[in-house]
Amino acid sequence: MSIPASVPPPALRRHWATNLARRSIAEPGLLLPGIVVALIVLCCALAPWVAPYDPNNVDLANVNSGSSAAHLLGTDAVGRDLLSRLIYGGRTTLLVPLLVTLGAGIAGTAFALTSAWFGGWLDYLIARGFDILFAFPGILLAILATAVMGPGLATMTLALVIAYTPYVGRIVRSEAIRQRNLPYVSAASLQGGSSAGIWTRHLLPNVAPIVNAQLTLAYAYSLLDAAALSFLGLGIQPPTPDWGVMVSEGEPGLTSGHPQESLYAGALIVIVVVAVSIIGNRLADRAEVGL
Amino acid sequence: MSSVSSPEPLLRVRDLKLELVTRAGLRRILADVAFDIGRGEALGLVGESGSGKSMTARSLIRLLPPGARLSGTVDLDSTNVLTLGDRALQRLRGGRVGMVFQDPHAHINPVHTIGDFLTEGMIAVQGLSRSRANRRARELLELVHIDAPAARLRQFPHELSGGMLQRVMIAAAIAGEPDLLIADEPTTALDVTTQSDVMATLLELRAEREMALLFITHDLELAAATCDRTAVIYAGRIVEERPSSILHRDPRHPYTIGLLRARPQIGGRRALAQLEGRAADSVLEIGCAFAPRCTFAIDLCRTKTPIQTSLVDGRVFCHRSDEIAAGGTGGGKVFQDLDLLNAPSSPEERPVLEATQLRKVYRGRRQGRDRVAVEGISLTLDRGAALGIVGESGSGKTTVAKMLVGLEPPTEGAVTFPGGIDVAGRRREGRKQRARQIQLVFQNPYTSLDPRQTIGAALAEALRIHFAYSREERERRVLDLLDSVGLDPGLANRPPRHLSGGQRQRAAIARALATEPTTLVLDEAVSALDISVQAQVLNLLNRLRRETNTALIFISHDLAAVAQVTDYIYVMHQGAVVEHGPTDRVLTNPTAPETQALIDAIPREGWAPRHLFTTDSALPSQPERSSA
Repeated sequence: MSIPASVPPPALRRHWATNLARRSIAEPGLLLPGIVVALIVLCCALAPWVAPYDPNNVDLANVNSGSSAAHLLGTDAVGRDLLSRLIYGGRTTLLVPLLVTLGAGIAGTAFALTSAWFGGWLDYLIARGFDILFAFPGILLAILATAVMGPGLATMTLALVIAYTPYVGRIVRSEAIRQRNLPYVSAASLQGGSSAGIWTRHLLPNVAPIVNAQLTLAYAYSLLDAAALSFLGLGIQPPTPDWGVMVSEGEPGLTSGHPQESLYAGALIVIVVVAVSIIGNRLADRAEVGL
Repeated sequence: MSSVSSPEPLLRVRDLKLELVTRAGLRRILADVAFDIGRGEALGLVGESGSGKSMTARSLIRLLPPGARLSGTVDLDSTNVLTLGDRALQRLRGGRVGMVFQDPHAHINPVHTIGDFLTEGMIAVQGLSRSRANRRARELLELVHIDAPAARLRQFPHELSGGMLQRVMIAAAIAGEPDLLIADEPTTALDVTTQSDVMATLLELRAEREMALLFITHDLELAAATCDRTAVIYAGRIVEERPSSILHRDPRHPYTIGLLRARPQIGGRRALAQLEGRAADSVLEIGCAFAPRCTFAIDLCRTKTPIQTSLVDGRVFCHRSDEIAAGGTGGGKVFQDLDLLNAPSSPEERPVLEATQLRKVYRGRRQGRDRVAVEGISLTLDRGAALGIVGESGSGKTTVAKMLVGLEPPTEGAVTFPGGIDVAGRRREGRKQRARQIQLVFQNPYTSLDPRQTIGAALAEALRIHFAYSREERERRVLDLLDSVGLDPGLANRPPRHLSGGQRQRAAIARALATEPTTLVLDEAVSALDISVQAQVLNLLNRLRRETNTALIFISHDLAAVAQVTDYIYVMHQGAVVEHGPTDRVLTNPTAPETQALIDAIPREGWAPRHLFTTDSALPSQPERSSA
């Protein structure tokens, strides 16, 4: 053979972290948004150590202060430290879309593979189900859910999972159908492989790039939806800090010369959403290229 | 250079050099490419995938991907194409130079009718009125022998067969009355009979209009049979250029020799030359790019790029061409005669598979729209026997394969194995038992292997299903399997994308062998492969059959390939068997006209392409069904 095949292939035996690092360097478009997201996540995860104050510590003697040495980003209308509230608030703000993404990812992929594998009336049923759900805006669904179950993190998460399942499922279904009809799947079946084996060993790994890309985008959008729900008072309830809640609570300040609270929280939402969307779009491009 | 076509050629190419700036770095595609094409002359440009033959064609009209850097001279009459402005270039492309591509489906917009496609340029560029353009389009379709042209103009691309669509492409290419027609693998995606038909059309037009032709193909026989001169290109350099008949009789470059000896002939089974390894796909700066695959190679070949040796009738680029001409080959053997004589194995009279009256009907959406794909086929396969099924696209041969292996249930009839294994069932137990009896090798090795699974994992997966091996035993068996198909054990850790087409197809065969089946079905398994790679696979099949006594069912539209591996042939036409018998008898003394047509369609020395007037006439022509 002309290929020196006895040499281990260079690209396969590297540690995953090395691979990640190499890929990021090779793709500057992924590096910057990656670092931004990583820093924010790290800050929020380490909130008790990073935040200078208790986020719910009221100081009525020092309300709506601007930036100062004691309060880097100032305080809100009841004197709570804004920086601390932003850091703590990130925890729910970032956690809810994560749960939504996981839930919608699992449900969407499961429905999509079932649909692609069995075809026929089951496929018809699932595909139409996706279409119907897709027609409902997530927010509307969440408002309905809140009306039934009362507001809170669990309700909001559940409602968004339902809303985002078709978002993931529709794309993954079409890819799964394409993969399912490729000869390698027939070949596995001809070798006597079990359906479960074909799902886990062949279909799932081959739709994974599309799933990943779609989930990243779903994360960004559901973060926005969750923030909007909290803003409307249907999600996270005050005084628990949350970026959506903070935008809402800071609203009176916008017209009375103290826009910091809404502004900072809103800016963070925008930054995270944009960064994650960039990553998601990049992943989607690459999934299409088939890398 | 020793130009053959004097005095003043139509096209004069010198020092053509093409580099491509990609994200992976600079790729050198072509170097020192030089040739002439005289008025009305046909030059065949032959090479394997990645040799640079298509890029040569595209360079001539500067139809290149972004990042291409092109230098040299391309003179069409006295115009240097490489210095033309954009407008002039555009006029040239649709005017003096016409182009036909390999895949007509990819080049005709599916949402437009054939009429729109043909008239678009005439209206926009030549400024014809719609009605005059339509009349002209009808004339063009008549020229390329398309029946009922007026009706065809209103049809959409998907309503036409591949061969017919390719003739539409030809019609579009000659619309501007070109002096030079560039045809880039126009028949590669077609089966042999359609190829013959399209080639006949192409050659007729050339003769009528004294049009020069640059015909690009991977099939040396086809080029030699249809072009005045043939140039062979390897790794971005022309390695030999001669008048076709002389090149065919007396090749001087080892690569040309290899290509010629790699192609199965209809005249009987023989050892095919096996060009081992992967074809180089970029220019080598120092030394001969073919040296790693060449059995003539000496040290000089690796250190010095061969310069042109002018012959009376052409030129060759090889350090040892004189010795080759003299018959002295240094190493003695011309090529690794791996299976010197593909001695037929000895089939035992013990059936491993029996099919009785298989019939397949695809239900139409409405009543009366049912389509009979296969009509009553019976066959018995003995252990170690090799049976061929030949036919054009749409003859039902792939459907037979699917019914045999159990991918499609037959509408009527049954496939039985010794021991009464029921293949009709889709239940797991049945599938597992069937997997031990029969395996399928698909046409396209690029899609029949899971892209995210290494070759080793693919083989191990099959082993895990059927055998209770320990880990070590399984690994040893994987290496055995790779070895049995002639693949390096190191490839076990590689994903399919690191393998060449031939290596992939051999890996796919290894996977099929993993369950130790008694029968291997190969559905057009060599059709998508380069000739040299096809030779590797055909030789492998003969060896496997001899060593393991596995019975083969080899399905193809190419009788020459079928003849190379089988003892008995079924010829199919429109879902039915029109002739069957021992391979030698069917080839030498065919009784059915369809068999004769298939034999006539195989390019060989002294061959002329012919029109087929049999199947093409019904108006709503069915597009060929993908056989994968």
